[in-house]
Amino acid sequence: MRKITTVLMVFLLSAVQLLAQNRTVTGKVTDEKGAAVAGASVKAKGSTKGAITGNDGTFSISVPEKTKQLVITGIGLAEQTVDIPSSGVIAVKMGVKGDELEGVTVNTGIVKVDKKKYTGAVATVTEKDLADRPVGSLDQLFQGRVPGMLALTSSGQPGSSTNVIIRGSGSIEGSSDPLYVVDGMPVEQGVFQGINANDIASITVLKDAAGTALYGSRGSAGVIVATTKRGTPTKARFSYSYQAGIKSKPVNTFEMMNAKELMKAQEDYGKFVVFSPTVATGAPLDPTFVGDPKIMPGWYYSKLNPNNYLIASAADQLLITKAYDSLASSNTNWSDYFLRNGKFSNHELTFTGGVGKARIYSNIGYYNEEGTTLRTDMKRVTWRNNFDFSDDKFSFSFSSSIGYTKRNFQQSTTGNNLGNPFLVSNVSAPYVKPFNADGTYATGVGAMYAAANTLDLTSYDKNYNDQLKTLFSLNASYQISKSLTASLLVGLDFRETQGTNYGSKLAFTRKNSTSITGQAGFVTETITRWFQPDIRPSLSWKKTFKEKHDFDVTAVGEFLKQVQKGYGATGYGIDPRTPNTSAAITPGNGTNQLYQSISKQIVEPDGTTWARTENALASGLFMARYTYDDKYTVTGSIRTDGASKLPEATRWQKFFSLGASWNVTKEKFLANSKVVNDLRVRLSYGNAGNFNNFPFNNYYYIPLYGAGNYAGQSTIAPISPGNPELRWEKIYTTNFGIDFSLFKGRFYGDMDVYSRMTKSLFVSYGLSLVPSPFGDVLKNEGELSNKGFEWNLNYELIRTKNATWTIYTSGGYNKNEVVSLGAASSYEVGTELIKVGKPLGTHYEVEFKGIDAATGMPLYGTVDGKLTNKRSDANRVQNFGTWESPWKGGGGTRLKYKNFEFNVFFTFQKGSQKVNNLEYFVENPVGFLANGYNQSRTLNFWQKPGDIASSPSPEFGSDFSSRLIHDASFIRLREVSAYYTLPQSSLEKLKVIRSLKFYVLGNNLYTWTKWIGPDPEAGATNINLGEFPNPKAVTVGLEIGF
Amino acid sequence: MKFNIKKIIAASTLVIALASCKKELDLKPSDYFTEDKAYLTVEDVQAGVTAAYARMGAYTSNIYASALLSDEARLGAGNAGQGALTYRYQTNSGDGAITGAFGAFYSVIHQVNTVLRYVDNVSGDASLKADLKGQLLGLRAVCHYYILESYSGRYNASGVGVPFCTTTDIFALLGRGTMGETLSKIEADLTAAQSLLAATTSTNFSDRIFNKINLTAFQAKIALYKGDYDAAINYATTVINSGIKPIVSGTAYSGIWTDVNQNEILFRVIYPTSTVMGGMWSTLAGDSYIAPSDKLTNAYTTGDNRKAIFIGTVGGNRIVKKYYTSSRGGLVVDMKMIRTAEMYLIRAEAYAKATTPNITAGANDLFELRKKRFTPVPTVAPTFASSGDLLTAVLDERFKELCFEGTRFFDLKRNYLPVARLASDAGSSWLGLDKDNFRFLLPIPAEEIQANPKMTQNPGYN
Repeated sequence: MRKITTVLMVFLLSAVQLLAQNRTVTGKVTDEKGAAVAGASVKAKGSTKGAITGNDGTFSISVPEKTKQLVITGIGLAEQTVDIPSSGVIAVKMGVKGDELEGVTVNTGIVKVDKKKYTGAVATVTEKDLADRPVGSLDQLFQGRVPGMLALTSSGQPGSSTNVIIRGSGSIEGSSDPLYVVDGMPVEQGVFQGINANDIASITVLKDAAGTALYGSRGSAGVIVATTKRGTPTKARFSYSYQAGIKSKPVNTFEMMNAKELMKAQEDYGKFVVFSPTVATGAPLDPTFVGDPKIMPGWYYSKLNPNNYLIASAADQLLITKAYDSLASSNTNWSDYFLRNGKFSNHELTFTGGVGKARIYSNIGYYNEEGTTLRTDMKRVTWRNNFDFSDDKFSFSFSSSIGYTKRNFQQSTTGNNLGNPFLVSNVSAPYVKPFNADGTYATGVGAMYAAANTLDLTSYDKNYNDQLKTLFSLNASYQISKSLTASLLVGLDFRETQGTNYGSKLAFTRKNSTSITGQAGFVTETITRWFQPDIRPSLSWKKTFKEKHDFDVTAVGEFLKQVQKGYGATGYGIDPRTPNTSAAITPGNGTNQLYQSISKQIVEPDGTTWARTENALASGLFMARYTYDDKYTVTGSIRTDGASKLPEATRWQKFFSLGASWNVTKEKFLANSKVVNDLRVRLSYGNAGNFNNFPFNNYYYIPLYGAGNYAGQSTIAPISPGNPELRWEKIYTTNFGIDFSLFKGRFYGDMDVYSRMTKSLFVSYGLSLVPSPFGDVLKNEGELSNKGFEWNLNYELIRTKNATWTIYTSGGYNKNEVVSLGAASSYEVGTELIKVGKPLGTHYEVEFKGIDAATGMPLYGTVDGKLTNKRSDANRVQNFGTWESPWKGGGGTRLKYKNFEFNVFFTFQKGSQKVNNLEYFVENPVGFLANGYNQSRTLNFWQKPGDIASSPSPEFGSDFSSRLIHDASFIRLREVSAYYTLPQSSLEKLKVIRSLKFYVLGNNLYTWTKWIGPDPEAGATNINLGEFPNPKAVTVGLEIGF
Repeated sequence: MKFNIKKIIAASTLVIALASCKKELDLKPSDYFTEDKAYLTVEDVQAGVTAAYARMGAYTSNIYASALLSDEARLGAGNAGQGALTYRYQTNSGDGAITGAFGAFYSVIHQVNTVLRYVDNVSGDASLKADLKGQLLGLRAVCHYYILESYSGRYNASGVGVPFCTTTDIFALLGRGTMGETLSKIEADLTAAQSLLAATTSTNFSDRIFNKINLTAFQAKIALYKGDYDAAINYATTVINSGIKPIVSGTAYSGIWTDVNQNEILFRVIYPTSTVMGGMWSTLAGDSYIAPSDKLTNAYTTGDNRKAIFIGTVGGNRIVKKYYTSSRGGLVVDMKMIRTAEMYLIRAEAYAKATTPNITAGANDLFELRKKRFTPVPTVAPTFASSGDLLTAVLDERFKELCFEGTRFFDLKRNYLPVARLASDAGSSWLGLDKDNFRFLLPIPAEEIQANPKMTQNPGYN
């Protein structure tokens, strides 16, 4: 094909040559690394003459005498104009094409716009910050990279997703997940395990109306546009990269008591119960308290125990002392049994190349990670193939990726249960032995066996899922005329996740179960499927009149469907010889009572479950831009969306945006400035919707009826009442921004201020229980505001031939406030109170005022400023801040010296307050110490008058209060890296090897925080329950190119 | 690679075509069905009525609240907070244990009202439709009665009632009205129901649906509540004389409580696999949350077989045995909502309280019941000096017979008697309620007060 083209071109050229008086110019075209570029087009400026470079990159062109310059273009390369020297050979070094370079164009996912003519606020994450990181989910890379984005990864489980909120929560009832777009096609939120981050060339984040209004119904929470790597226009290149590393064992930041300390604390507790007069009666709590040797050995075997030791015979006293000493000296560090150093490795083969009109990029990757707690791991194979073809009028881009991911899970790495290793390893008593003499786990009933029971369970059970994720998109365009182009995007996002959960009947907790099905062991098999086809035709017209009036008008239509299917089957009576397969299920009958069950697996935001559900969205978009003389740009867009999720009457909604920008540098007064290289101001206004984040199911507006069963007879009853008045929730954003570059481009960046108002906000409206069993319905009544500013600043401290040293920072401040809730002024959601005038996520709790030193009673504040000893919900106040951090960002430095590169990168959040639920467990003399659980060394409970204590005396229980709310601000040393690339000169001697790179990368190496707990970032955003922390990781890697 | 211009035009018209594909947006669910397909046949209506019965588990709230507020229970040895604050009278309108019945019974009423919209118009057998409509009206009446009994005071026609709901408009806001208004609507439903229900025979009687006989039993209960003693006597007599569910003794009686048989049961709610009934009181291993009180345990005299059937010991802890063992596995038992034994007790109470008390007839009802409960079988009927003595004896008999069946607290309330716990059962500050204590009216749920401006809270609660 290429040969034919070349021959054809040569033929055409030779024909032309005959017609004029010409001279011949020869030269060679290379890429930035010096490799020959084949198939590049060389044209004489101002004439029709042209040539194509050969396989060695050389060309020869005959040009008219008058011609002074050549224009060289190549697929994927930046157009270059070079002067023709009077004699000699021209050497042209081509850079990668502009629109694939960061910062030059803005890829909105729908169109690409010259950044200088874009009126909105964007942030870009480049390949440099995405590649080679040891994460199983690419959204883990966002933290600190995007101004105004809060990105918190809730779990160290390999492949966990990140909670991303851009410019503050925009909805009370709905979520604030941004829309993700890969190669122009919207994809499922929060499921990235099957996508290889190394395939991503860049990520653009659209934050204001100029960008988000293009997505109309789906853009209000921001849009994250990822572009994958394309083939390079070079000879075939083949590279292999390898990386491996260690994720270190999580450290419990609560320092737990050792055996001796815990025994002493139990003794103190016993002493109090037996001897200390109580406030209530003046008599001790229980003078006859002996203590249970399995729960409180520290008291039971205590020499002070008047109900055991002091009444025992001398011989028994010896035995009791021996038992005490033996326990006090045996220390089991439970975290050693549950936690470990994680390992990971990654292999990748990349093939890329292009010639003539075609380019290809192909990458196969294999990622393998072993998590830092037992039974957690992730294995992934990804394969991406991107193919581009273009000729004069027709261009075609095909992108595809297939990812197959297998993940193993612990039974539970979150939440308040003793199956959670991060909880049980903290609260289990250190004097307990994990193993029996025969090597089996020392299981049993009671607190002292909790850790061994969990280890036992972990060793028998299996919980894993296999996920197949594919993304396909085809983007074809045809240039109808010079200014008119028609395009068509067809995409498909498909995922199927198959989960297996096997509970072995051999595990102690099952053997000890009281239910028939509990004892029998179970297998649950689930399948969930996500299927999202998308079709988007468009027509665009671009024209520049008189070199000053630049128009760009585009019309787009879109139809998208999201279909989900999911069901699960659970069966019992599993023979342990045939584990984790549904084939092992014993059919249920009246005798064995082991009835199988089928479950629906699609859980909608309103909590309803479905086996099949779908929605559709149809849209039309019209957008236009006009730029005058590269100075002034105005933009506008209008989009109409219809959503199947809303009632017919309110289904269709118009969204719009307006924008303007002024390229100040183009003005005369700055034209010759030595200081200002670039200065641009932008203003935009518009609105967008929240289609993907609606807080309800796909059919919420329709009254639904469901069939069921009562004692063997079928039933039909209403499931949900429908909501005919439901409307769109809309966010109106105003944004003002500046882009600048000063001092010869050494100081550059951008800054934005914004205001986002959510209108017709969904608020929960409680229904009277008399006519309705449905609890509450949503009404579009409220208003919510987010206001803030963002910065992205870069400064090159050193810029010489051999070295550049850059420091940079980006971040943002956001103030969230509920402006109106319609008829109500506040309402409770879970443990939160949504209240007008307060930000969302504001804690609602009783204020803890310390411990009365005279009595050991807890002190709580009342709403009217008094003190009380009793906690009451009625005294909850909102004085303890919010979990959603107003300040967040990052910063770092990058030093390049010859072939070395060093990076240090920090991230931070400031102003976040979070509940530390683990603290309630580990500083709790009544609920936990008294029940045989281990406590933190910080436990300090009141024992006698005058004690300055942090926990009440054992006469009074600990309770939830503001005491547990702590500052979760942090600064994290997110990344330290060093790269070494072998110099070209030494590679040339090797011949076969084109490039060679080594690197060392450290992630999450250190965190500065006042937060006590494994990780301020982990867990639910507002509360920490003892969670899987994000691990510290050290990676080494190499990359060889051939 | 040639594209003709027509194709391009076709592609661009697609832009507009797609924007107008309105039909594609009219999606209907596959997992559930829409209103127009909900109730089309009499079989569908039957399924709708069954759905209402499935919600009658609402009565577990009465059972639990009655145990926690009265003197029949104490906190068990394994109580880790279950119902403890309610038992100590320290809760308010946020406590599900005493507010739960409100929403739960109105939820049955919602289902009834929903099906009533369709029952007259569906296709199918007219007599079956009439019977189903009778069941629905009966359900609506009985549910309103239980709400009235809990959330309004002792019956007094001009006292504050509870909303009688006949609408399915979820935004409707209904006020309380008077108890007289509520009760007259209940009675109207009951009358209408009786006229629609098919004749009940011992062969077509089912204790899982409403029929002429068990609805009459509820009428007896409601008449006693209202103070219409002649009516109560008549209704109770109708049920007893029907002979459909005679009272029984020995293993025929103890078998009721392990679901071996359904003797004496006029209406029950079935829990094929759920431990709802048994799990309220204890675990199978004997962690006792709510245990029979000393007062109850001591109330049984020698020879009374009920003590061993109702009160047990597991793992050294006293437990409620009435719902502990089952032929279907531990704790999995049905809820016995109304039994023939109560008909004897209602009649005896009515004889004692009637304008012209009939002490002999009342004493005889007690005698009939005791003959089935004692070993050896008593041979002489008890005698009472006054109707007051008879009433005391009836209430004592109800205490022993109907413990943990959701009646004790309401028996005390109906008879304007205090709750008097023993010091061995309760702490000094929760030894009971004097007869005028505000807690005899349970609190309207806080969320209802918030959602419905026409709803007033009962005095004493916030």
